[in-house]
Amino acid sequence: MIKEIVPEHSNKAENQAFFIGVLVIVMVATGLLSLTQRAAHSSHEMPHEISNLATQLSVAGDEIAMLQEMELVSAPVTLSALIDKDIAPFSAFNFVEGSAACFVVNHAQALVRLKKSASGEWVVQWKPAGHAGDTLKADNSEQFCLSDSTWLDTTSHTEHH
Amino acid sequence: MKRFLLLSMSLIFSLSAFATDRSGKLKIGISLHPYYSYVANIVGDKATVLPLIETGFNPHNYALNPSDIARLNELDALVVNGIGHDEFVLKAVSRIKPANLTMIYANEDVPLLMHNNMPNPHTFVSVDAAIRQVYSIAKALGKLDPANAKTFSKNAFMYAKKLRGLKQGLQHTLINKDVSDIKIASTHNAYGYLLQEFGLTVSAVVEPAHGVKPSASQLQDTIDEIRNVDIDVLFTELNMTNDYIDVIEKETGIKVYHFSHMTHGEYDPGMVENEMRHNIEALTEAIQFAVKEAD
Repeated sequence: MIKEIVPEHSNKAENQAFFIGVLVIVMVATGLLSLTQRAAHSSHEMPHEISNLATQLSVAGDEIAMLQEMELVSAPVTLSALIDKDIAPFSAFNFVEGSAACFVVNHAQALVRLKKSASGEWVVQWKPAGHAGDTLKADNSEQFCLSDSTWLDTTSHTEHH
Repeated sequence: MKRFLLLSMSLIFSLSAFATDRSGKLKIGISLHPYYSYVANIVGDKATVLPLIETGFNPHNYALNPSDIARLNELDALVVNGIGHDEFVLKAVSRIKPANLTMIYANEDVPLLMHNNMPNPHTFVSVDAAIRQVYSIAKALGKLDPANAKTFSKNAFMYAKKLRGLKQGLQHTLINKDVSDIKIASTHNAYGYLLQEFGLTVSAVVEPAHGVKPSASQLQDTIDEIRNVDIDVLFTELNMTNDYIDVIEKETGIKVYHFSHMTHGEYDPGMVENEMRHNIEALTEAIQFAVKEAD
């Protein structure tokens, strides 16, 4: 006859170790998750300092379209035409223009641009201006007018539908 | 004879009301006062603008009554803030689901200021954000009524020009002036968009939420902060009695200025223009005071 002998107190330390292990895993996972979320959040939140500039550019997009409809501004629109027509905010900031209806400015450590999209709509986009290659000049403006995923829409956080 | 006259008059009124309904004009509802001004200026006489709620109610905590709901069901479109200032409307619409109602989210194209992951809904206090909303509304209404789309767009352009003109005086005053050192406190977080237009930011907000008085300890913290940060001016809401403002003023000697929140009073096409003019005048005075103090 085989008799199984189970020591009475052998599982106490084991249980303790198991629960501590689970607790550590949960804490590490929570920490990592919150770090990831914070990083994602901070990289996508538009700096407060550019909100008004972005608003003015968004308004400018509509006004350029209207002025073109009224034939008061010819296509393709140029920076000098926008300054001549006193369309805000082009005369107040040092914008640089690209070749295809694209105007970029460096403001408050962010690059902000007004660009005519492929569908013909004017869009305002931004990205942090922290990288070495982000020095905006008249002769390198084209690289700031390319369509790529590093540029974020200034209204991407508006969710109500 | 009198009865006959009364009957005839009411018949004429009913017929004229019927004629308005059949005229093809859009019936556009609005949730907040500024949207009445925006829409009235955009549509002129080409549509009817109807406030969803009567004057004198706080849109932060309003609940629709049966007559409001009846009005909601008559509308072709409803213009809303949609980012936190008129939740009562959004809830009602999602519950009632009025037939043929087009929702127009005025802030759809506004780059928003975020706080704790929530948008600051007071975009209507700012000139530029107001203009952005006017254009978005005009565009949406033009889609609903293509025959009048050009008129809406032209009216929006003219109205935007008027609104922008209001801030030219202050912008001129600010040329060659460094205002980045001016420290501002406000009773609640409604003025961020407006202040940013002139290069200003809010250093301290007194109320924990709109209309919620700070507790004694919160008030003491604010008083300490105003003293420590050396805040120059405090903006508070016009037509709102706040006893604690007197306490702050007395304890810190801070200069208090009043801004309109634009969500009170009668619905009026000229309200936004008038209240914005007032706000910009108050801001001009406050900046001149702060600059003088610094010198």
